Amino acid sequence: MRRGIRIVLGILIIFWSLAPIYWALVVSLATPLQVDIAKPFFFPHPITLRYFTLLLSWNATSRSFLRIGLNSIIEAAMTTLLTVIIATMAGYAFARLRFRGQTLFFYLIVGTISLPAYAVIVPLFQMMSQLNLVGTYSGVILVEISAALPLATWLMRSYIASLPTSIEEAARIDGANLVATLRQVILPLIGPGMASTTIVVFLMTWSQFIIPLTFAPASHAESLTVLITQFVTKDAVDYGLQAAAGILALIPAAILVVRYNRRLVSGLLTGAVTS
Amino acid sequence: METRTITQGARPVRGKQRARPLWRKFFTPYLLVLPAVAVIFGLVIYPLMFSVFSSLHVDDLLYAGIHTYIGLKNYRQVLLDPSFQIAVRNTLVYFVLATIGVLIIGLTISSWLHSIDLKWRGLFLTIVILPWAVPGVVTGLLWSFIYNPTSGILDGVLRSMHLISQNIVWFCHTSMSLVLITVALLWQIVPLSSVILLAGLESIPPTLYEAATVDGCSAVRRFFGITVPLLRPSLAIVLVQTAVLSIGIFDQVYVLTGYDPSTKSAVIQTYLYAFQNLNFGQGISAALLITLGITVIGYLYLRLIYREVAY
Repeated sequence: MRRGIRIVLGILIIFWSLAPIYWALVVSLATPLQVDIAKPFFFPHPITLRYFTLLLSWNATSRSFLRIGLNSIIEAAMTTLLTVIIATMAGYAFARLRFRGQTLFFYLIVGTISLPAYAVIVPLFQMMSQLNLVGTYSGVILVEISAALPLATWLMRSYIASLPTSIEEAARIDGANLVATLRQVILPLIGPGMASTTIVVFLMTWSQFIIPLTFAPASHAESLTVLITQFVTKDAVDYGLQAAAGILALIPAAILVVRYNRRLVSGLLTGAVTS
Repeated sequence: METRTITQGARPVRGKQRARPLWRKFFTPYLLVLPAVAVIFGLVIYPLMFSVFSSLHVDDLLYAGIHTYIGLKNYRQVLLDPSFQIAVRNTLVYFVLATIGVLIIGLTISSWLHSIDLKWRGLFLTIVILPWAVPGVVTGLLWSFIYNPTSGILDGVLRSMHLISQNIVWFCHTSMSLVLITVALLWQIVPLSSVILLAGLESIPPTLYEAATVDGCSAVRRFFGITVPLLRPSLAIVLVQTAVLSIGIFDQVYVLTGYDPSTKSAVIQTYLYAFQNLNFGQGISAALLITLGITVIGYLYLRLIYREVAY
């Protein structure tokens, strides 16, 4: 590719990726006057933090932005933790051990990767309401685990299968049993794979919308993504507030992407092969 | 770290575990996969089977637990429902537009990333992948600020370039709305496609291009003669993912136009059946029909495009 084309393309691509985020940042920092005056602008002037302070100090009958943000963090963190633990155990068994029904179990779990969440959301809702789990953390977390687990299991199995077996064999010969091998030999080795899986699962869960919308609407377990859509429909006029909420919701994701981009990309690539 | 653990494992104390009974060795794999199997069975497979069952039955209103077999009535009702037909038509438009968009933008971005220096690639890869991590509803929100008819930047830019004299209300026109929603979806799903295609491009040995150049092939011929055929597996994966994500579009539509009939997707319609009309039977049938559609399209893609490449 010629140098000139490359530079022009580069500018266009960076613009495409970042401009929507930049524009929301501008709207969140601009004064309502500037937004309402209907004259094109590209920079906030003067800059105001009123929307951010308004959001963070907003407190209406036990539903505050911070509280709901914390809900999202708790749900995403718990889902990620449990998913990664369960997926590591299963991934090890699938990659290293031989047992009856292995292939069946493997297809049972991994086969549901591209099964979309909405395919089972109605019967799940009926189940969860019978169990009184609608509107609780446990309900949301359980469903989110079931949505993330197939991909996570695949990622962990692929990673463990790519490791050389010689170290484990050495440990076995030295008399370590399976649990000891798993804890003392495998765990330190699969750190990078677990890190990739953790980031992919966390980001996927953080973005979830249809699950929290169905299983925890307007309850104490409400999530940030659901709250944001309510800003859109109820306070449709206050663009600044919406923009500030959007920016705050994408900050954790952006930090993870910037900090762990390599792990994320390798996780995504491994995950992509399944389809 | 590793050496330490190995020496620990070698301690003679561990020898006592050799006396463990055989059944433990037999059961360990099952214990390891048990939580995963339980979660998937309880929360995916069982509800799915229950779905199929309840889509074919109707609950007795007087006696709980008594179901009457009604055959394919739910499916027939859903398929004949004009609002489902419109939703399916909209969804097909999203699917076609998103597929074209992913191919054009994804191939452009991945070729660009492939052509730049390795030193810079990490940075630009981070910028490219960032929209993937932005939650779908936030994506919808970001684009709503762009499309906004009073203060949106799209109208602003067009006006300052004197292309339009007054602001356009973008979501007034159905076909325009479908395009704009697809753009918001593309922004979120193109990053992953670009990364997959980039990996595909990197797996093509550069010597092939050198040989073709020596033989006098033009850049266009090199692209269609070498890149496209060797990129087949990656393309198949990208197309399947695009089908799954665009046919399942929900977040962006929900935020940008809500339940508006002219733009609602099939999944939105499913949601309306189940949680607004409280007709779970129809909701389940609609969801299963969409899932079936995705499965068929994915299968066709893999059959037609995915071929192991050998060189």
